[in-house]
Amino acid sequence: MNRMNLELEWINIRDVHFGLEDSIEDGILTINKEALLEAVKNPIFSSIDVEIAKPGESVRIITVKDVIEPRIKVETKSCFPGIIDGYEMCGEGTTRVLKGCCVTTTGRIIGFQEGIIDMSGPGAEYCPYSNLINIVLVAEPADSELSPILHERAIRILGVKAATHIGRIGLKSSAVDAKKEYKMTKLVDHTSLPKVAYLQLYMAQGLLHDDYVYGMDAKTLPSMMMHPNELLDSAIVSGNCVTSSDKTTTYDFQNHPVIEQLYERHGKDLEFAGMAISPISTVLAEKERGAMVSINLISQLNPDVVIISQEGGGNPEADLMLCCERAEKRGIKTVLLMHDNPGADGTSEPLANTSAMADAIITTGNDNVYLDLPKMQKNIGHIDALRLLSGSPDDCEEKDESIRTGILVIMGAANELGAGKLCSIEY
Amino acid sequence: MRVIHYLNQFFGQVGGEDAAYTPLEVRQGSLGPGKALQAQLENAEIVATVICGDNYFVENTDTVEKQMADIISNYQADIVIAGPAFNAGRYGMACGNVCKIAFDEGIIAISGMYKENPGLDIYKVYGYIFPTEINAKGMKDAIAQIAKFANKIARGEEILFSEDEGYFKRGIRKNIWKEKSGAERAVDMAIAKALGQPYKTEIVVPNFDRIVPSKPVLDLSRAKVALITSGGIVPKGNPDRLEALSASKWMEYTVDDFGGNYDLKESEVAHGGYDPVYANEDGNRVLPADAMIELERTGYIGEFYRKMFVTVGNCMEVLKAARYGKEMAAKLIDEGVSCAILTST
Repeated sequence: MNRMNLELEWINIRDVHFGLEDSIEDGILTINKEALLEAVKNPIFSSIDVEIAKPGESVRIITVKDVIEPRIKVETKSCFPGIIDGYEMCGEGTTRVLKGCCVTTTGRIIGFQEGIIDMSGPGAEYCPYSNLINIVLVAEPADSELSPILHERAIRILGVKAATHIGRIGLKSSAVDAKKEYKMTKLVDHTSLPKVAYLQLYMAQGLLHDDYVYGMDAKTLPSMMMHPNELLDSAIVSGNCVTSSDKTTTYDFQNHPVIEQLYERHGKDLEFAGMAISPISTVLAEKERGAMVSINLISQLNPDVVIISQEGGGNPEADLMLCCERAEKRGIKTVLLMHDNPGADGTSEPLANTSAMADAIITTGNDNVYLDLPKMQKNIGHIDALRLLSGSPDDCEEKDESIRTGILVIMGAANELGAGKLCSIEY
Repeated sequence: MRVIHYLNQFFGQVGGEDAAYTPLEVRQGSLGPGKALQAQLENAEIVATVICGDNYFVENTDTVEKQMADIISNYQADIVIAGPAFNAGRYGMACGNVCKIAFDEGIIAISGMYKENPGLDIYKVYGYIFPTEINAKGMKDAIAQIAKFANKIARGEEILFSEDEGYFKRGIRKNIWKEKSGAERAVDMAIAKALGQPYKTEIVVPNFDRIVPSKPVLDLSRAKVALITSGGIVPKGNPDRLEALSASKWMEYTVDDFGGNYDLKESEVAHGGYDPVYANEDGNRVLPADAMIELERTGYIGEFYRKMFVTVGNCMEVLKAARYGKEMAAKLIDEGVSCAILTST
């Protein structure tokens, strides 16, 4: 059998600006704005604008919906199978990555579960996207009464189309800065290394809390095996409007920190056994089914240990604990990857659900703490939405020079794939 | 730095058990163990010592809390030191509560307790409570440790985590930045766990018992049904002194204790954790004896077991609650009760 090998070719983007002709030269990405707007146009929007926000600038992007990395499959010149592209290939071949920039979509879809990205200041320390050059899409619906479902879908498609368009500029570059090959090699010499599997629990909760796998709504999908390369190759797109600090953006799926780690250490101090994904439903029976089926799937990989991560918080912790118990009872050790919610002062119970078997937990931080953010010179989007965002205290308003809000509103602040270094400890 | 020191009647040199109902009073400066404490404090002065009888404190919590808060504010205290209480239960509860009052006022609180003092588990979140010996033989060491820590605060030094400073873990979660990402830490932990090597979970999960509900009662019309509440409905005047928080006992009452009628006219709320106005008006709102006797009259249930079990669950420790539950269940089984309704608040 030919194994699935995926080669990522990185082009490091140092700067982005608008110009007459699409090009990448010496790390400078030039985008023809009109061509980009033409590629993403949709009559559902009365206006679409593109703005560029750079690390260190006094800029706040507000009501962020998703963050996407521009990637393009060299063989097919496409990126998002099932969403806007066909099924020629995914997880194999060569994919170009415009490293250092991202497409950021905005819009008041739910009105209180979008997030912010600060390009400088204390908010930027918490946000993994603040050190990227954000290519921000600001799209306003033509119909102010546009239903959230249609709005979310339109913004999601807008984002992947823009990322594809910009990704294609990467094909114009004759040089790449780095190459990395991702393949699940069979270990011959290191058979005593611990076999580590990965189970990713991801959102499928309706009410605009859904991820999309090959364009399919996660609510309609069972637990399933995935090749890790498929995730790196943009098979999963976030359609999720849940709290911004703990949701998994499309960028996170593409740059999956756990998969990266497992590949990196495969053959060194572990054997990467493979992975499965399982939707997080709100229905108890579906949580139980997800736990049973996903651990049955994981069992087929014969791992010694499985890392299980969650998305969101609260009821997803039930899924996490059910999976943990199933795995431990089957003799598969578990490590859980999640954030905690012990309240702003850190004194409450940190988890909504627990199991005595959950004896190995990594936390990506207390998601409830407040932070004072300075006023920015420029806001991209709707600054008036700040006090409405999920995670803002009820008295949160932009006063004078600073605003107090929760890190919950900062995109990726408590990223549950472990992208960041935030952690909470008990003292 | 301005320090307020809290002592009970015994260490405050008012008297022994006979003085346990001494109301709260304030003395200028230090006294008792506060003298030794003051001698070791640098750049910190005990400006006032608050003394209160152990029983008075527990039974007049609302009054004492307000007085204590006023004292903290009037004396412009920077630090409140309570005890040390060693293994004295009521004193430990009072010292813990003093820590909570200080915490609520935004003031640093320090205390010392023996590891099994019941005040520790309930109040450790509110202050830096250092481990002590079981009794006052450990006074010297306890005072030295508290003084050392207070001096550190007075010098404006950063307070480190419990492992470094030696206080009991408070159970507060605080964000820090690690050197490694969450993903890398997860993989490290997975490898360690798989290989049976030591690792340290970042969240210690509380281990609760799973209570399996008993089987449904097949025929209620033949069942003897009991009524139990953790909502603290007690006879007027609370003659048994059921505590407002984490009660030290559970009681049996019949309607005779509440004035003799099912309107429970002579009842009141002893529970300190909810607004008592409505249940003070009518105890049936928490302890629905009137509904139970009606169910008996209509034959919906076989018999209403006349003794009603009452306790206060407010901040009740799980272990104590489990003990009360077992005691109540044993009694009910003895008396042929097959079904119990539990009301809470």
